[in-house]
Amino acid sequence: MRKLINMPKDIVNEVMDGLVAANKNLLQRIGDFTIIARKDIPVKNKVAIVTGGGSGHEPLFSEYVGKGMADASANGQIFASPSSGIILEAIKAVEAGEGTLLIYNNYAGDVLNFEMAMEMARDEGIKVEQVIVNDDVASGAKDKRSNRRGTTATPIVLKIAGAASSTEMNIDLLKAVAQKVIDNSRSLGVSLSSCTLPETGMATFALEDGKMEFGMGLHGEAGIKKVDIMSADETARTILDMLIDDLPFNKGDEVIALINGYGSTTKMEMYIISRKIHMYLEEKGIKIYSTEVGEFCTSQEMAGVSITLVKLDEELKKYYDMPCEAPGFKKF
Amino acid sequence: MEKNLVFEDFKKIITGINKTIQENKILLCKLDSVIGDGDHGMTIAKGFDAAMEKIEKTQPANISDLLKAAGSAIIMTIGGVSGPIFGSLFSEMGRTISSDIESVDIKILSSMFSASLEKIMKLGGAEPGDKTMVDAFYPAVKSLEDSADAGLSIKDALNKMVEASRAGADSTKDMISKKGRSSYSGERSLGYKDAGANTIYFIIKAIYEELE
Repeated sequence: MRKLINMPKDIVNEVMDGLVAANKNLLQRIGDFTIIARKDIPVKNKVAIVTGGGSGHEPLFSEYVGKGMADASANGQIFASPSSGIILEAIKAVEAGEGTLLIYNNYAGDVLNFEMAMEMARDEGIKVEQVIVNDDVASGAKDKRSNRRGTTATPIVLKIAGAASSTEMNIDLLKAVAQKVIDNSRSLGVSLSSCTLPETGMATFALEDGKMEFGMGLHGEAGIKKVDIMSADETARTILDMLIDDLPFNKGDEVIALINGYGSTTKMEMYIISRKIHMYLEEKGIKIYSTEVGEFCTSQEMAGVSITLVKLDEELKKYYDMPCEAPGFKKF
Repeated sequence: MEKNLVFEDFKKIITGINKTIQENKILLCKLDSVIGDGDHGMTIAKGFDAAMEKIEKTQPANISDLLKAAGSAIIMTIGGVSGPIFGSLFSEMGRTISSDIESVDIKILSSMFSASLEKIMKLGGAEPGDKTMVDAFYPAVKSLEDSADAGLSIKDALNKMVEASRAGADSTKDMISKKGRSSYSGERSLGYKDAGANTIYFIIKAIYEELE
């Protein structure tokens, strides 16, 4: 294992301390809990947004906490959902009287714990609603979207919902906006290497040199197609064909294209992918409204990229363009 | 072990389970990493650390409170699917009996396990055959119910439970995962044992060995 860590058991806490130290004016920790929150919580006249999930995917989730994005993130251990106890504490910390919207990814553990926390918070008289991100086309059939995992659409969902929440929108309308982003988002990734769990030093799966696997999950869950490594152009086209077919994205649609590196893939490679995405979508008559290139959701040192397309309408564009200031996403 | 189980027995049981889990956490991670995300052993071990800590701190004085303390510590402390599921295993057993029960015979023990199984299946939505911990827990609890009906001693009943859970855990090798994270691996999950089912086997084996 080649990782710069101290004691494995301290990883999650040390990551959070380091993140807060680097963003003193924006972020704080809540007590001893594995929670990152905006410095100015509770924010008045605003539905609060709590996100979260397993750690080890940095910058997801905590770098999307900030002005115009999430109010807090509840973080689990590496690749494991936060407990219901931690999520409940996050909900209580951000609650400003307008209710709290939970935005998280579709994994069995997250659903179980967020729903338990939601029930506990409701028992305490807090209004809580949830939306579950499920953008990954590889992990479920088109007619069974409830089986699909949440992946790299999450930063976009948080960006748009965060902006909408700052317009004094009520919780039901906010939930509908967030759900619209999710319904309009599709992602697919390709992996070129495994990732190592820092706590055990073990690789989560084996992928031979020279092979790549489409649809591999963020925790090494098996993908849908293993092939010899393709060129960047061919890889981008293969992914885009599946995304376009799935929503479907049609000629004349406007989209956000997000290119995400899984951990050890370079920006060099990501820009080569970006080039092809622009060429290919232009061929298809799909207009790219905005392109995001970088690491948004990683899986340790896994090599590979994912592409997310989000179909926009005038309402979503408006919220997407509003300013935000979070360590992982800034718009001025 | 012809006699009923008392408070001290349950304390010994939880200490014994903790010891077994701590000793096997790497093995459980290895099982999980083939078809899951490789965190099962570490996660479950953290939960039992928290359970021991809470029992030490709150000093529950009866069987019901002891089990509830262990379960709620696991639920509140560790996340993943393991927190709610494995925590409820203990807290639901504690919730089924009143706090003035000082001695548990085989009939009560059987009803405690039955309530726990029912709660877990409801929470996780898993049925036997889905390749989850239910595949070890379900046959174990059914075997205990049969033993209770037949009037067996607790020792003999637990011995049968160990066998039932081991066979149940082994049977997951031939299953395709339909629930939880390992379900993403689909047919690739064939040939590998489910980590959660194996943890149930370890837990029941630890109970038996602790009381023997």
